[in-house]
Amino acid sequence: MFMSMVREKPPAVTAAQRDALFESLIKDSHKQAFSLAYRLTGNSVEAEDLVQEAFLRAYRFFHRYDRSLPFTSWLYRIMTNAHIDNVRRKGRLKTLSLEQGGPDGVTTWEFADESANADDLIQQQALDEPLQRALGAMTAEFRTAVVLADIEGLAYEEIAEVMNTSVGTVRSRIHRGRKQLRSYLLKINYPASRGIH
Amino acid sequence: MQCNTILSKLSAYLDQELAGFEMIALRDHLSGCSQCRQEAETLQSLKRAFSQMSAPEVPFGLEQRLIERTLGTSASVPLVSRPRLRTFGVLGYATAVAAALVIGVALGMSRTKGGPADAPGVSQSIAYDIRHDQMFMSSTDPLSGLALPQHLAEHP
Repeated sequence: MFMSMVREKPPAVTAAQRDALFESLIKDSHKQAFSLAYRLTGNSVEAEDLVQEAFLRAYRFFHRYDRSLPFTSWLYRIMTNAHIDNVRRKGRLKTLSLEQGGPDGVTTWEFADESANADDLIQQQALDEPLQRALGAMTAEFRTAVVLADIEGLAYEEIAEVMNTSVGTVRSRIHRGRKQLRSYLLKINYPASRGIH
Repeated sequence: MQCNTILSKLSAYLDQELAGFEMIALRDHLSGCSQCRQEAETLQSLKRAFSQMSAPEVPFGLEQRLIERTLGTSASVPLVSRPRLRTFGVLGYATAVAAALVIGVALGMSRTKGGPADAPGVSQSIAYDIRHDQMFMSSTDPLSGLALPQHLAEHP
């Protein structure tokens, strides 16, 4: 008799509805998520693994997602935590050198000849590669904060929310992170014409 | 403000993340100090270079792979966060309170030591769920990206 009065509230959505919703979220956000993952990891293979890991965790804990907040903010939080955790688990920071893999994780980095008459896209890629290597040489926490600020364009308060830390810590990580980036770029002779000296 | 103080705030200044009076103080200082101004210009160039990076090329078939690998795990994923009790009226509450009192007295008479997870009749999986929820609240579960303690990671 008592048991008959205690009933579970029926789920608000069916499994099929949830899967359809999650599929649409993947379609809408996977490019943005991949872009962030690429900046954090430095190559396509690891970026895809990180995006996959983040979506799997998001899906596993989707019942805890507060739908009044943007999905990408929640996904970014999961992804950046997973990235920092992965770096810690590896036990070392992945510092890219000239001999290590390029954007596809296999080939070596190539630097365009500045004097060559390359088109804009190739020139831009040539300028991006040392920047990506500089990101790869940073500590995971600094890299995450700088990428979220300078590439994703998030405000410090949003970064603090994503990284689950204080605004003061975010400010410090970005400041120290930029100093690391600058000294790395100077070390590898990044073109002075770009204003970094 | 001294140059050292200015330099430590330059990044936040360029990101427009300082309070109004600090923004004004820094701007004043920069207008009269070429050394700090040069530093600010370099940091601004650095920030611009990263913000202008071209978007990476998304691998062919990524969207489909993500959908298949993620939704392929649907069997074990819960739909709701907690089983919830439906409101069941005054009689129901009275019965529940009475039942709680009886159970409470019985536990008080029989229990010698240990927390809820140690009590007879509380299964390992429930104890695990309780601890897991506590860790979720304290940001130490898999969602937070931090590893579970070894003794909990061993449980399914």
